[in-house]
Amino acid sequence: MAEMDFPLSPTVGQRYTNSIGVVYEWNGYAWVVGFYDSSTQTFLVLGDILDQIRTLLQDTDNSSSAGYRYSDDSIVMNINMGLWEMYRLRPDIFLETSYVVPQFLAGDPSATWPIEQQWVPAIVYYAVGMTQVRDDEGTQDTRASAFLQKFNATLVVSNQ
Amino acid sequence: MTEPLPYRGLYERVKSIIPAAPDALIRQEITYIMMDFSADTNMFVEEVPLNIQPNTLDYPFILQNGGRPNRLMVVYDPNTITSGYYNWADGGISMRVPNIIRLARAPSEAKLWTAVIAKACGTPLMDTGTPPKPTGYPEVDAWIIDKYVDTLCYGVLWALQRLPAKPFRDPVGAKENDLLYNSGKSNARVNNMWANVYNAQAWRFPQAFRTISRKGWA
Repeated sequence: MAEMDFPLSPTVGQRYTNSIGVVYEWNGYAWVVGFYDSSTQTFLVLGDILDQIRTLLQDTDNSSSAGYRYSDDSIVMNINMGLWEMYRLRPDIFLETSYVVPQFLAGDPSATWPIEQQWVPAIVYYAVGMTQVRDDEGTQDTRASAFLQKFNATLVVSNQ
Repeated sequence: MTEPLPYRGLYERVKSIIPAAPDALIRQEITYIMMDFSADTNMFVEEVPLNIQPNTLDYPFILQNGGRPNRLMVVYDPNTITSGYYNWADGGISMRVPNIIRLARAPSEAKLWTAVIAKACGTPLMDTGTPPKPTGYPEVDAWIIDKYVDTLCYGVLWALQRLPAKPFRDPVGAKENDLLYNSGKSNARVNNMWANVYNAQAWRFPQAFRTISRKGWA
């Protein structure tokens, strides 16, 4: 990874993006990591959602020759599986697509999110959880389980 | 999508109370509540001219202003209205099959009568685009939504809160909203029957005094 080259006299709120897209923000005392990429502040297309999933997976560095730890294909597969699971649990969410469950392709990051924005977090939780379930490191299991439970809770658990 | 005007306030109110309900689901439940409300209150009406012909019993008709025929309120002769009340032009007129008015007796001469049809919502409200697309809501007279937005909101909340396996499921709230909706619907039906006139005549001739097979409408 290239060296960090922070501005010398930053103002509060000023941002700096390093070579791999991690965004730092000056809070008056230090540079803090606040944003992975300014484009991920909205979740309108598949690429934005992938960015957010990678942030939660702590897999944002593709500067080495090996690239990302988790391939786009594997994450998009989990997003698609999450959409099917979402359909099983909450078919009403897909009323606006006439009960057609949308599916994404890894090669099309500009594909638009086809259902209401409020369901993006649930899919992010699912994709992160499933991706970590596949991981062979035992330490990921608790975190994976937490994300998958969060997915379920977002969709079906009543507060009553 | 911006909700079409007659429904915007109702949608926004429901969404603000149950934000976790998908938009399309809210539109669907508003549609079903509108169908139920209009069918039970006889509030969404249209007058249809009937060109009565000798020896013809069946008169098919097509509504012009949206909705589906639900109930035949009255068939009257516009030339004989004197008191402002509707009287049946003849006894035994019926609409067992929606869209077809059937006379009990074959008339001997041509006449021009008017049928008052109470409609139920069911035809789609289209947007103003080219070509027009369905908005997801049914056609209805806008004043009905404006006047009864509270009652309709209770109905939609009831419909959403009783759904199984949803984060917004709330059996207690559903029961409460069901009561409020049905109570509001009853009031709306009576208000409509009295044409929204305050303290209107509450007494009618007992039906034993009737001279034709049915009581008049409003």
